[in-house]
Amino acid sequence: MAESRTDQLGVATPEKLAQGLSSVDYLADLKIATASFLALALEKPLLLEGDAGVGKTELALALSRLFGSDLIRLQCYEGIDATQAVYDWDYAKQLLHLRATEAVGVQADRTSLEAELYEDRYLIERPLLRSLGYADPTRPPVLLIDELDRADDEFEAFLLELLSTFEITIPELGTRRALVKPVVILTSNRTRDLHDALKRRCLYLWVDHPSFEREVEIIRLRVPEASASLAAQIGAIVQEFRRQGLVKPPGIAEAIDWASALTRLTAVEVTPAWLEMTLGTVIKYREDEERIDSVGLTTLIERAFARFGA
Amino acid sequence: MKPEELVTGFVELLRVRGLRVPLSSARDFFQALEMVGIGDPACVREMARATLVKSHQDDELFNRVFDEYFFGEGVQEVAPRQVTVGFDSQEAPEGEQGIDDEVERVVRYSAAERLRKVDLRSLEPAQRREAFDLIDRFRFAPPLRRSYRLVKSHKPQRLDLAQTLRLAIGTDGEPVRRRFRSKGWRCRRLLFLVDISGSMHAYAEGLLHFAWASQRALGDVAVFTLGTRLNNITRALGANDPDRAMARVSAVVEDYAGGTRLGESLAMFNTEHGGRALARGAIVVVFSDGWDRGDPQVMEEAMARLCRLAKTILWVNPLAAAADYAPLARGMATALPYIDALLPGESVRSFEHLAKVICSEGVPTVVRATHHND
Repeated sequence: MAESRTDQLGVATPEKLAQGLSSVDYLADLKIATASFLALALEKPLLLEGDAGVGKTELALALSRLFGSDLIRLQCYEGIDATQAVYDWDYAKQLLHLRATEAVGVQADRTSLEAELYEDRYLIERPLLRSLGYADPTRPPVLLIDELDRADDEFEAFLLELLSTFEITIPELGTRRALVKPVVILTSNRTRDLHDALKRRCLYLWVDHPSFEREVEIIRLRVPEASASLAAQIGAIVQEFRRQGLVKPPGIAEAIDWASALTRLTAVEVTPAWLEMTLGTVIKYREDEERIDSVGLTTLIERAFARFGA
Repeated sequence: MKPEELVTGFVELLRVRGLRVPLSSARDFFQALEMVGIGDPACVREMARATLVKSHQDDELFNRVFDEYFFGEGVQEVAPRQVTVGFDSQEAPEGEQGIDDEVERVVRYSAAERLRKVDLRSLEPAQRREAFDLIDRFRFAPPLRRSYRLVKSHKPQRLDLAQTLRLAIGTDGEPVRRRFRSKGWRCRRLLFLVDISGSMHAYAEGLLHFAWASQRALGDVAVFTLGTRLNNITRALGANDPDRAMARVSAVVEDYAGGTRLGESLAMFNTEHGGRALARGAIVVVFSDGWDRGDPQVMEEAMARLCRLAKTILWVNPLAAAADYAPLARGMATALPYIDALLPGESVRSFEHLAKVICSEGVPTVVRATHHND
């Protein structure tokens, strides 16, 4: 049996992968590390679901940093089809080619003309096709298919085929097969249920908001300028905000933004005044702002510090 | 214990406890164990989760079964609760055997006309089945919206370069014959929020039949029940046979005829279940008599948010058919400023009217319940 992918990549166990990820500034808990490890080891796509801002996309980025490989991102949207996701032809150039052929008076027959038109040089590779074109097994590309639930059913069915065979047939050029299978990460915001057939082919991971300790670690890692005590205070307040039943509870992304904002403003601790001034980095809905105000900024801060001893 | 025994035993127990585990997932789990080993229970748990659980909703069940299987915790024979959707005591519970024996149902057409107008609550079980039968056979013309996917078109709006170029090869690169594409049409999403609390007892099944019929016709339909908790029954409803669908729904829903916390359920829908995205641009049908024992403030906020997301909110209230009806129930009064129409929902005829209203939200069309298979 050939060397397994995880050995090739130097991440022989979930712990090793977690260590590797933390070396590229992504702190993964056991759950995330195990699921990612298995996705690599079994060469299966990994489907991530979870609230906005919990670090789903970031995981794909971190994996590509870890392997020193390319991240190929396909953002899904309603109406996305093969010409935007797989490949397209450069029609303007093709037309020019046709006219040029005619201008120099070459009497070409239709078949050869057609063959000339549909050559590699006129092919525009879109993300899915591009992800099949890598040959170095130690640096597999990371293919991130973001917010798949936004695409429609037809696209999902089409993707299913690609994810099982990793080959794409272009009628004029033949079949392209991946020499090195890309590491595939799918994310979904659950606006609709994905098909069982697709889920069967994937490993599934629900990404939760991090625990208080983990969150403080992440803030310190991503915003090194923030002092330990400031990071702890930010972590505590963000955790407290998530308990308020907000429309949009702040994710780790917001916590990091907020920490950057506070350090930029040279705040050394979170006071009600600072919180009020920078609330817009954490809270994104007017109703949420009202809810926070109705509880009272001072009360929230005190409650948060008491709960987490920050 | 060998890994293969462990896998088969655990997967078996998961299936017994009601989780669907495809064979390929079990194989993945086995492969994972072979690679990593079974030394660390925490790691085994996460490996099992990553390979066997395909939805966040099943996490809780998975954890329970894992503890039970590996640590012998909380072992007890829990038979899954069978709740019947047989809305009256005279009817046999719709268990497994209830679905399979084909009940002969003949709709007498002369009677059908009368049946359409009668309040569902006052019908005998047999007649009620006939009424549901009529609802099941509704035909829907989907309310449409513009889609973003381009399709062939004759309107010279957007050139289809790929096709035009292929044709140009035959005419020396001169694009003589041109082909066009334009945006197509898609069904607009239909979202049902069905109140199944005690007071709605007699009518909820009627609307579930209605939702079933619309789902068959329209495709993009989502159905949630509001009761003491929120349940997504879209999948359960997706059976080919309405009776089977109802039986599946009752297996999912545990709080039939529970209390009403309408505002809270709606608020929960807005913040969880991807509700915000589901309701965006959709036609939302709330089926409730508007009794809410919760905080009116919560109801108000939830309706306001739903109103900002949805294209249309139709409130269907079985009490609204009465001549002297006034929307005085607290929840109803709170919701009133945020809804586009308040419609009755007590009889087959009212449901026909509802279908007309839904379908006219897109392109105006006519709907009728078909009584004849002519």
